[in-house]
Amino acid sequence: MAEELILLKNDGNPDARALSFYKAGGGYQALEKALGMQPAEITEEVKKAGVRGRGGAGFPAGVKWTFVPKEAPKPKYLCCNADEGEPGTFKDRALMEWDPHMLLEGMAIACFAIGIHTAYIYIRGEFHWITLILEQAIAEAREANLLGPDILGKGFDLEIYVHEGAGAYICGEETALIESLEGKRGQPRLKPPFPAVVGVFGGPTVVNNVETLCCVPHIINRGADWFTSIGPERNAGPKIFPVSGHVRKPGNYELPMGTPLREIIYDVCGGIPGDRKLKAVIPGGSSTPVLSADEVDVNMDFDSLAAIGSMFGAGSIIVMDESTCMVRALTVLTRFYAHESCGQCTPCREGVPWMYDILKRIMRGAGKPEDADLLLDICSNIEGNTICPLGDAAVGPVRSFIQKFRSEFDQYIETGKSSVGDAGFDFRPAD
Amino acid sequence: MATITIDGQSVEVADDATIMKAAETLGVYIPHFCYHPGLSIAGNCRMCLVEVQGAPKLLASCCSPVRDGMVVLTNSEKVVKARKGIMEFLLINHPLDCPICDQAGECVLQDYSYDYGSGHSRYSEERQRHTRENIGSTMVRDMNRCIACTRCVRFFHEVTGADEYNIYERGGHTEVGTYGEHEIGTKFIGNAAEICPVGALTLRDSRFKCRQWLFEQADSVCPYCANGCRIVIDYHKDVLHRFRSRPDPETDRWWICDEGRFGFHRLNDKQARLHKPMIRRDGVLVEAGWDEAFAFIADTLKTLDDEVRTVAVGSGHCSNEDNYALKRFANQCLKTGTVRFKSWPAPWVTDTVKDPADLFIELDKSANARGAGALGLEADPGLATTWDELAAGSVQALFVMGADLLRGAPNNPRDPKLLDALGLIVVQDVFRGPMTEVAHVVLPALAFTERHGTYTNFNGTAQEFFAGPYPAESVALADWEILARLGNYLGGDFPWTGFREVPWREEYKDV
Repeated sequence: MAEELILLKNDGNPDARALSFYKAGGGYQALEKALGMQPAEITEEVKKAGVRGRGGAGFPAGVKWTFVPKEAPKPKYLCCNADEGEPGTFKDRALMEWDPHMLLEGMAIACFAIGIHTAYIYIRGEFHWITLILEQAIAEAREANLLGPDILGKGFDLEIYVHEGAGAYICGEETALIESLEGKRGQPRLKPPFPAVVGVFGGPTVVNNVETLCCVPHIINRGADWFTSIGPERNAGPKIFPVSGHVRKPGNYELPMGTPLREIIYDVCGGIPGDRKLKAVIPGGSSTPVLSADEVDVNMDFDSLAAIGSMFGAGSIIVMDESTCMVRALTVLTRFYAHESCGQCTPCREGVPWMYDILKRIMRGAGKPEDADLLLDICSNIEGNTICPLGDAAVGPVRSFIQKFRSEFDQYIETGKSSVGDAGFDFRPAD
Repeated sequence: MATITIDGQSVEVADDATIMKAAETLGVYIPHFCYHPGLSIAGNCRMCLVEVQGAPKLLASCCSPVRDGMVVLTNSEKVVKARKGIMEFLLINHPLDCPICDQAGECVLQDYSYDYGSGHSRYSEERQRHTRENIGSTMVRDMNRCIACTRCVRFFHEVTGADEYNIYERGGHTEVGTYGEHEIGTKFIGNAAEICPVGALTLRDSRFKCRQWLFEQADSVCPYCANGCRIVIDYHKDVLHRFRSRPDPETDRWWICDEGRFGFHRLNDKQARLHKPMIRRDGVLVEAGWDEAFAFIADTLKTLDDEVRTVAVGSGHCSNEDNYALKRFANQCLKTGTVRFKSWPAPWVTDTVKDPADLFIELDKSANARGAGALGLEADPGLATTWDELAAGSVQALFVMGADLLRGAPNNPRDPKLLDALGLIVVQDVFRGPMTEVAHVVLPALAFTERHGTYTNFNGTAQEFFAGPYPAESVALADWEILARLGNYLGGDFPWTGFREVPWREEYKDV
């Protein structure tokens, strides 16, 4: 089973983008099948499959769909979250770039199940070439009556629009995404109300990740039981793991959920170059708490990582070997979060740049003995006190890096330089 | 209805109430910056975080709805730690320039730092620095002091629709304002400075004038249009420093216009004011005592023919007490039944449709025209009838209270020469003006900030206003009090000692 690629089977094949190619491989059969089903049946099947949100939060997609009120005075919307911006994550772009029709088919099925006639793909602005690919695919599908009015003569209408973001990480947060889509400043909304009740233009809205929606046609084609047979219970399905950092063969790998992390690093990705020693792994994208080398015997799924105090996130694995200066790595990560804080709420706006400033000072050799504890205390003042998860995301690496590599931080502060002979940190003029 | 427990006290509130609202009904104060009852909920300052039993995280009480059976702690250890954290975050980039900040003394950031601030700073990095900027011509923005609560932004967007005022940049670089110091296209700018919880927005006209804790306050009503917005007068000694809004429980409104807000400057102009009674002798006005002025009026009235016709002109700018007193004075002492006021619109005013952007600014610029009408004063649009009578020679004397006969039709200036023929012109007013130039006797009246009274606004609500500072080196009196003293002098019956004793309601017939 593990050998058969579901999501990445066309990875790297430019010909696969064409509708004819997709259809020849059985594409849009799931849509045709779905249009003959009752919408509630589809939702039930997706719920049974238990596909958990691949964007990072891991919320069961089918359950999310049922939160949308059946009768709403305003139109309902589907938003595909394609604002993939978490450092270390590069899976959605591959799906959209090589298999755009899989996403469109998944969206069409989801829309039919929920009763939606307008859907958006909110795509990261930097992925402009993928926007063009998606627009081409939408035009093709519309031409073939797979989108647009009266799809396949079954009386179901659906339009899909691609909307480019303008370069803000925060717009990957679902309510900031909705604000941005509406043409406003990309800032998270207060919840409640949740998007399923008040979303795009005030209508009930479902926001799903690209990879989540790409699973939908396969669930319809092969059934929920097939889906749950892949990977562990409550964490089922195929999953793309983007692996970066110190491995011989970085890249996107499609593996069953629950694949052991050590196997991914050493078998799938060929181990660490120069056979250097493993030092740390970020398991799910830069915001997830780091694992030390002795914690890598863990299965890559939501529940297993939560059990050891980290997070599965988007399954984006960043591998760091013994040559990595953890102080520098944390400074780089924190710079990202300080830069991407939207500035709406106090703890994140003030706290995250403060943490970055302290880390910069440590890097410059001017660290103070109390800095590590100060950073941890700032973390506790940010965590849980912000409007959206970005504050917590910034805290994730800072707290875990310091807790698990405390001696390295203390040593850097004491000596004013890196213990692994790091070349230093090139600060941008803007910093 | 939902029953929730806050700090051990139970309260029943509507299902859609927030924790903040529920706490308010119990009199439990939850510290906050961004929450303002007149604006949408932003939930961004995070100062109002509270602990809710069973919730994994602290909840912002301004935006979290209540749930039946909810148990809330507003002062638990966790909550206090979070508040201290928020205060530290807000203060790391704050200049701590309270000694030169106009907000000091009424600044919630300053107040909360006594409760939740730390005596020393853990911040050893460079502070963010922004340049001070003008927001249009009336307001100054000091971004260094800003806590980005967005009250001002929400006010401009939600109340006035002025979208040019906004948030710029993001994250730690967030700024509020207009792009490139542009003027904001609204007549309500000052409210933004008023609701700013810190010293980030200040008004140019009151910057560095007086410390806030020296102010005394008086509740008043803005007289600059018929809307009758409730205001508070802030004054120090006999100088007015600020008019600000006084939230109105009737209309649930917090906002006043700039014309009203900045309307105190003209009252501080001592040169423009009348301070002492004056009598015209040999063509020149000379200061006199009250009794001297009263004797002059009495003597002149005696010299006039018994058949003489006197017109008394009251005013929509004067209070109900004043207009009532004038009516009684005319009846008892002037032997004339004609008591008028200048009503709006004058015959030559064609544009009588309000611009929707003016919100609560009424086109009728008199505070009490409706009250004057209700007291039975004869409405004379633009005083056109009075001038017709003057031109026809059917008026021999004028008693004018707070009305300007000479400022009238823009293209049809009145001919002051018509007034030369009159046997007596008494002018009772707050300011020097064209009328004092033609008066035989001038009686100085107190401005609305210096006395008590009642105005009836355009929709018929009678509102009392109260005295602020009494002007130094002045003997002026409230209009009704002048009339009462003069009336008694002339043998009338004016037994009142306070404004509430003036029985204007007896003749008040509002329709």
